[in-house]
Amino acid sequence: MGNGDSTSDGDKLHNRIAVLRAERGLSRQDLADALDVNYQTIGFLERGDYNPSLALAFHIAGYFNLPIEAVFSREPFRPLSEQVYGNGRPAGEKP
Amino acid sequence: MKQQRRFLFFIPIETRHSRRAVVIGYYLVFVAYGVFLVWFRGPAKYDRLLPLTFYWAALFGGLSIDGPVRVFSQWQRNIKNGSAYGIDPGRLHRFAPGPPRPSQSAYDERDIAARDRAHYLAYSILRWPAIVAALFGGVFLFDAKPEQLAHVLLIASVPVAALFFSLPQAILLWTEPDLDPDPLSSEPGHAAKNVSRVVP
Repeated sequence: MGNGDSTSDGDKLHNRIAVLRAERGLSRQDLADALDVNYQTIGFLERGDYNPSLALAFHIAGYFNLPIEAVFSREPFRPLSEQVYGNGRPAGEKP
Repeated sequence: MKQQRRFLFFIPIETRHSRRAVVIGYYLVFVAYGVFLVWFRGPAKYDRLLPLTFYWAALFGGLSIDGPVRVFSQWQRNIKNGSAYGIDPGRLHRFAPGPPRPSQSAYDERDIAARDRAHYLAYSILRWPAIVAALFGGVFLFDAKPEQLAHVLLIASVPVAALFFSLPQAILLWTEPDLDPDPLSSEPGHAAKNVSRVVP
């Protein structure tokens, strides 16, 4: 974490910040103000261009009142709707 | 905190295109100015223009309060935080009595990482020409007369110093990517909010 903008595929940290922000109707600026970072940083975090420091990652997770593994992951996230309601298979497909 | 428009030389630098245009324009004028100085270096009055090169470098950020990171400059935020003249008191604690004060820098961790990377890249770029110039300059200046020496050093050192001061800023301006528009932003030109606001 905290390795700057140049995140190679191996170092890439996936996150759900954009989804969580949209769920709460927060602009980048709103979230940036709450976390005391610049609004560009929120955009680069969402785009995966910047990996946050451990402190900032915990700060973000704490702000959304979620465990850190619900916000950040080394593997790409499955869609929340699929995780909550689905079994990972397209509709109509038998298990 | 409301998002502030960012300017350099009164030119808005929100987009990468405009930031790169500023860099190109800056160095074109810089080169033209250098040619002018060399071309008219005979009369002493033009030597007085040399210090202006320093001011030129300062305009690009090298000698200002916020240093070469004006790309991120939000020094009004420091004033809002209670520091006089926008200077971060955390930067000054080493000169003041009492316990260290927490930094209230306007730059967050990504800004600082980008700033540090730009400085390192600028140093990596400039160290080799500097070494070559030092070697060849030393050979040339060994036989130079004292009055020539002063003039050559003045002519050579000021633009080089200006380049050193301005290059990190130029790298930042050139490399900072653009952001996609935020659909949830209420700023003009962005999509209006269509999601109810829930404060966590």
